[in-house]
Amino acid sequence: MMFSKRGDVSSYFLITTILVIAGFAVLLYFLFQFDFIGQTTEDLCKLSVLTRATSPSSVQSYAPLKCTTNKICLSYGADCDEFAGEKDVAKITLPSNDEKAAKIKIAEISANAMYDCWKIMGEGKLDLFGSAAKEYSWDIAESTCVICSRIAIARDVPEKIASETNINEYMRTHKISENSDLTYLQAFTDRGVNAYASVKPSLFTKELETKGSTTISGKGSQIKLSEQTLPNRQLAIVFMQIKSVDVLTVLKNLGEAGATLGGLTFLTPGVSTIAKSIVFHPSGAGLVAVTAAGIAVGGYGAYNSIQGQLKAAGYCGEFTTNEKSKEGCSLVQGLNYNVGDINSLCASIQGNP
Amino acid sequence: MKKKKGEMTLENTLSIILAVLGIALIIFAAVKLYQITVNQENANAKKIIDNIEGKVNAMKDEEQISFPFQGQKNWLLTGWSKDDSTRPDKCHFNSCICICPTNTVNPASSCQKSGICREIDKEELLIRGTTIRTTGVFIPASYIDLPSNLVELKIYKTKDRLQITLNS
Repeated sequence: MMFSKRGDVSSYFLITTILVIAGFAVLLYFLFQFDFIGQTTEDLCKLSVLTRATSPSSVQSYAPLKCTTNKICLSYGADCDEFAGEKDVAKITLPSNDEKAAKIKIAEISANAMYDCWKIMGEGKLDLFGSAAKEYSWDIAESTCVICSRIAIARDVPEKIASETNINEYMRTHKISENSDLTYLQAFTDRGVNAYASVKPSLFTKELETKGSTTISGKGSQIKLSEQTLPNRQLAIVFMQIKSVDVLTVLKNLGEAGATLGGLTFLTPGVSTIAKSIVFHPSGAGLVAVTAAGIAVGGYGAYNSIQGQLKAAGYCGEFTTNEKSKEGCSLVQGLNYNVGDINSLCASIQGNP
Repeated sequence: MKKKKGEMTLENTLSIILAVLGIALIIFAAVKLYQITVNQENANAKKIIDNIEGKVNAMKDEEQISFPFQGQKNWLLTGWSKDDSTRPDKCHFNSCICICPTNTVNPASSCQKSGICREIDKEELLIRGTTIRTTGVFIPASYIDLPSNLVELKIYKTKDRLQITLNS
C-alpha cells in the first residue's frame, strides 16, 4: 500500500521516486557531458553512423554524420599538391628503393581505405540517408554519398608506379588483416569467392536504353567519366547509398554485367557498369556511352577508376535497422576526385570535408 | 483513500513533478538535437572556408589553381573588397571571403549574422558565380551558391587581387 494514512509515504514509493529522479539526473548529466573529445575520427564516425541508423525516422535527419574525409598523401618525401593548404593530411612514405614494394604499399593503403569505409558505413545494411533525404526534400531515389578518403600520390612518385598499381589483384590475393582468413575479395562478397567474374566488354559500349526492359528507372541518366588530359593522381573512396530500387532486378543486371555476386553482396567491374545496372539519377549526368578502351591517360586514379578497373563493393537488400525496413543498394567505389566523376555518382554528399 | 474535492495529495504532487521533469527532458533533448545539427553545419562551413583560405595562402602571386571541394546546401560563398562599404563588420578593415547561409538578396546581413569570414590580405576581391538576372540584365552573381555535392573553384591570385570563380 502506497499511503497508509493521509500524507504518510511508504518507503517503497519514496525509494522509487528517488530512483526515478536520480535516473533523470544521471541522464541529464551525461547529456550535458556528452561530447566527442578524446575519440578518434573513426570512432566518431562509427558512433554517428550507428546513431543515425538506429534513430527513429522522425529524428534521423537531426543526427549528423560526423565522418571526416581522411586525406592520405603517398610519397617518397614530397608533399601532395592536391592537399596544398589543407589540414590533417596523413603523409605515408613509400619504400624508395623497391618499386614492387611501393606498388604493394599503394594498393594496401587503397584497399584498406575501401574496406574501412565499407565497414564503418555498416556494410550497406544500415539505412543512413532514407529519412534524412525526405527531411531535406531530396529525391529519395537520388544517391547520397560520404567521401571516406582521398588518396593522392605525390609528384615524386614515378608515373609508372602510380599507373601500374593493381588494387584489384591486391584485394584478391591479400588478407584483410593478419588475424583474418579472408581476403578483401572474400570479405566484400563471401568465403567461397576467389576470383572476379569476367566482364562482357560489350556492356561498356552499350547505351543505357539498349538494356530495354531490364532498366529500372532514371532513363537518360548515366555516368560519364571524365577524360583528363593530365595523369590523375588522386582517388576518392566514396560510399554511396540509394533507396527505392528493385533489388532483384539490380542483382540480375549486376550478374549480367559480370559482377562477382555472393548473396546480396557484389563486386562490380566498375562504376560505369553500375550506372547501367543500378540506374539512378545523379544530377546533371548526360546520356553518353562510356567506352573504357577509349580513354588513354595514366595515373593512379585514372588507371584504377576512369578505366573502370577498380571494383566497386556493394550490397543490395533490406536495411536492418530502420523502423520501416526498406530495400536499397549501397556500394563503396574508388573514383577520380573531380567534380565530373564524383557528382556523376553522388547527387548529394554528407560528412565533413 | 478518501479525498476532499480540490485537495492535492502527496502522490499527485510527485506525479506532477515527475511529469514536469519528463517534459523538460524531452524539450532539452529536442533543443540538443537541433543544436547538434546547426553546429554540424557550422563546423562543415568552417572547414570549407579554412580549406579555401589554406589554398589561397599556399598560392604564389600570379598563380592560378582550380580544385574541387565539397559544398553545402543552402550556403553560399561570397566576399568583399577592402573598399566595399557594404561588407559586413566581421571583415573589419580588410577584404574578406565568407561562407554564409543562403541569402541572395542581402548576403552581407546573412554573413554578419551567421556567416564565417576570413580576412584576405588583398586590395581587391572578386567572386563570380553563375549568371543571374537582375533588373532584366544577366550578370554573374557576386556569390557562389554551394551545391550539396562537389563544386570546382578557380582561384587567380595577383599582387593586389584575388579572384574566385566557379569553374564550370
